Amino acid sequence: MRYRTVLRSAIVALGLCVMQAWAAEPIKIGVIAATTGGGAPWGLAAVQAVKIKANEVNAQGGLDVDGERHKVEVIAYDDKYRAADAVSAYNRLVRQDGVKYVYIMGSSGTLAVKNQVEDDQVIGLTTSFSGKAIDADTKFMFRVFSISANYIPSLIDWLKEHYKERRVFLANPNDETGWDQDQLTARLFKERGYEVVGRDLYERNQKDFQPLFTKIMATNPEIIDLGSTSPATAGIMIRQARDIGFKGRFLKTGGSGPRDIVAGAGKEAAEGMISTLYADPNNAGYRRLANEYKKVYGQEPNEILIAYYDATSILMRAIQKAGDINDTAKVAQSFASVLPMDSAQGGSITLGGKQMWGVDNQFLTPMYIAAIKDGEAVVVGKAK
Amino acid sequence: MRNRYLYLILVVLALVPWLLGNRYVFHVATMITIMIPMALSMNLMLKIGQLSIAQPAFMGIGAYGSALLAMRLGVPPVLALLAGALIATAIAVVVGPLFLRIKGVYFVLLTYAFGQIVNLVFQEWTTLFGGNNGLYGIPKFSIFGVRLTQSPHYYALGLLLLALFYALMRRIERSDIGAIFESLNENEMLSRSMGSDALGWRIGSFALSAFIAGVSGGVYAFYIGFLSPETFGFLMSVDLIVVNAIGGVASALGPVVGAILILPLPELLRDAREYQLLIYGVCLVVFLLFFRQGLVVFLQRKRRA
Amino acid sequence: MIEQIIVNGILASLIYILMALGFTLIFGIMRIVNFAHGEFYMIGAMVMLMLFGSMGLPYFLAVLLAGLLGGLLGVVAERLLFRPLVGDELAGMIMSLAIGIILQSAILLTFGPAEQSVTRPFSGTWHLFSAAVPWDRTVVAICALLILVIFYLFMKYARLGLAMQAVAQDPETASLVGIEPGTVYASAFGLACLMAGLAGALMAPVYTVGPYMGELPMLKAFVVVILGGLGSLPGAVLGGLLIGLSESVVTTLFSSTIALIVSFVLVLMIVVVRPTGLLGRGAR
Repeated sequence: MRYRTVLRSAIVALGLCVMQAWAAEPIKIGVIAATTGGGAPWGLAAVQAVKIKANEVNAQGGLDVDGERHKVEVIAYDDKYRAADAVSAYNRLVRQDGVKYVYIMGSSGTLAVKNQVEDDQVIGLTTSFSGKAIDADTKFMFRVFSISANYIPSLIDWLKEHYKERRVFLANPNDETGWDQDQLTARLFKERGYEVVGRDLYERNQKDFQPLFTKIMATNPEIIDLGSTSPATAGIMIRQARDIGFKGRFLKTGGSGPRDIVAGAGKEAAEGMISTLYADPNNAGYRRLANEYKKVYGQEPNEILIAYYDATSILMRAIQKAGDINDTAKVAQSFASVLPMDSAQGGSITLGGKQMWGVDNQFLTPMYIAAIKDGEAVVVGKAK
Repeated sequence: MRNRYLYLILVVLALVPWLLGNRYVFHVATMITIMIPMALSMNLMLKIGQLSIAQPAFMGIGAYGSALLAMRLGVPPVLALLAGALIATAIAVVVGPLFLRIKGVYFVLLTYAFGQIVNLVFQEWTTLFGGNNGLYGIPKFSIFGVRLTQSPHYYALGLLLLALFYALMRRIERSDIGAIFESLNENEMLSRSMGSDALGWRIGSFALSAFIAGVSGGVYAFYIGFLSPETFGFLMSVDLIVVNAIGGVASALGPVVGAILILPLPELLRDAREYQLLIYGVCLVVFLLFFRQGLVVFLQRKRRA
Repeated sequence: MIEQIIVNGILASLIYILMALGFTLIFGIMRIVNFAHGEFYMIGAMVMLMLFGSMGLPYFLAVLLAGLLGGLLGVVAERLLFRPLVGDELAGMIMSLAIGIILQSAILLTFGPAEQSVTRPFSGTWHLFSAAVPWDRTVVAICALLILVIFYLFMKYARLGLAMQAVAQDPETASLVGIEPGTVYASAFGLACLMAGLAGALMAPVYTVGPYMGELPMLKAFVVVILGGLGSLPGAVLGGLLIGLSESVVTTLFSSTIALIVSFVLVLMIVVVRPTGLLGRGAR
């Protein structure tokens, strides 16, 4: 083992020397994500995933594009999940740092820079759940994983098949993502024969949910869907709901984060909750990445790690295919020939989205369905 | 130090973006030119001894107003900008008589509550304002058919407006109005006994400060092309307070100097965001304890000594 | 459902009252609007995280220590930072803002931004008529009531408490009678921060703790105190109950955002119509 690390370090050192000698232009990737605040589990995983991939590429001496090796540099800024901060970070990345490939994690940030991305011809890679992130005129913005609109239909089908509850209450935060989630799930549930007994959009930084659950209990739901609530808040919500006497099932059709949910709610309260999962925590490919993350942060990452890692792999391939690290228009077009590609955890990632958004600018990624059993997320199915 | 030197330094600083030619520097500079009038707007209220933290709300009204007029009704940007600011002014004139009767701490709390309500309206009235999603797709600004598309253009526009407002503030300071404001601040009874309608002047000051804030809001809207309610919240007031505290309230030059020192900090410290707030706080404490009159007066005094 | 709404409302009110009392005490005696009050609440909670969550000290001891630490911090802040600004309301306000920012960033830098959970000391629920009352909130409520009673007795019978009231009413005359304003200021501020710290420590296991957790309680304290009257202690209690209950009703029937709007509109109306609040004394 020591030998291997020594060898690896030697390779890296050699690679760096080679880089210095060659002084080829580095490929700069920017990441705008919420690394503080409620979205932090996602943001930290996002940034680290890109860095992990970049380190791997650099350990090989850099990305081989048309004979030249380019080092990959990752520059990350915190946007605190605020649109204005995202705009500011974007400006700095593109105008000051000279970045041409930018990840934007949050919906409000993505929408805020949407037009600029097209004007600046910068490749925007987003994990926004908002339907408005991509439309028929979009050329440079790509969504890098499957979102609610993609997987919820099959999630609900799976739910319908496995559980007989049919009365559902939808609770979402009062923000961009929450809105979309609320409207989408309400429609999809109704279409599939569920009864939506009520919907609520609560204030984002709230903590006292007892009045809300008092209201919810009065509608007598069998399932409460927490939608796009952030994992930590979801944990508190579940606990408070149980305190007030809710005995039904919890569902989370939006962003996933079972670990934080269990931490906030406690094992008992969270038992049986169904949510989506970006990665199978036991999959060998994913575990390798998770361990890399663990080395830096000392704890398990949010599974969104896999989406950003895979997306960066895809980006690297696309740049290679395009043959020019600065011709972003060509890179954008190269995605179509690089996909389908395999994810690090197996499964295939395809390019799609034309039917829904008007243009094929979406990576469709594998999505798992998980149930929380005894404090751990256990994969019970797959959504399409 | 004589004001003349200070002015010279400011003019040189203003030219820096063109000297560097860096688009990012232009961006930061443009944001500063938008925020300095905001600081001036707060300064105007401080002159009559009232701390108003409603300024971001007025900026928001101006911003959303101009944006919506331009987007939904196709009003030409210059008119939309003006109209947005006038809407903010109108609202100030309406709530002014109510609010300005109250002084001191209660007034601050009032403006705080007002600001929060305006913010909540932006968030909740989603059909009009887009809610927490924000409003995007705001068209670019154009004057007489010339479209402003790049930061340097907006910087120039910002500088122009900034110079205008600053000149206006200085004239007010030097004129009779300024004297009235000062007297209102120091001894209202006396000034009333001399015949000035205290409440009227206060409302006027409030309205003007709202107008300035509204214009800044409009420019911000056209420049960024995107609006969201969070921008116009309490945090901006904190920035404005810091700027005024450090620059000094006595003259309009204070907020200008304060802004130039303080506002670039978030960008410079981008890699150490958490430290930025800590530094703000410590600076504030230091200034409050030792330089309560602010930097400008401190510098002026040093020269004289 | 009515019972549940009332129970929810009262549970919330008690914490609001704790926060509001401290806030209004500081204002009544020192004419300072303490924008940092929420941060003292947060500090109490973070200390609780360390003492009870990590080090495993017994619950009540940890709460007490957390409160005391908060109080101590308050005394230090008053002596070093507020004392020089006595008389300048505006400067005092801005100073409190600065302190709040410093405290928040310091915690941010030490603990990181993520919200953390403190182990729950009590779980389970009991039932009052048809309302479900969680045990952990019940303990919080009982402790809060205890603190309120002790506070009331202190203000009414202890020398220092009476001295505080005297200074609040008329500082000049108070000094004539031999009351040293400095001691009163320091102890009042310390007491207020003690209560905020206790409130934070009590609430720490109920939700999650993080550097930003003080913002919402600060807001509520604001609203409560304005409603009840800046400087009025009974006003803080009345205001707390009103806001807690009305919030519970409005949120359950409509939504939390509407409840927020209602609170602020109430504030606006009160300050315009009756600035001294429901029970406040005349504005000086």
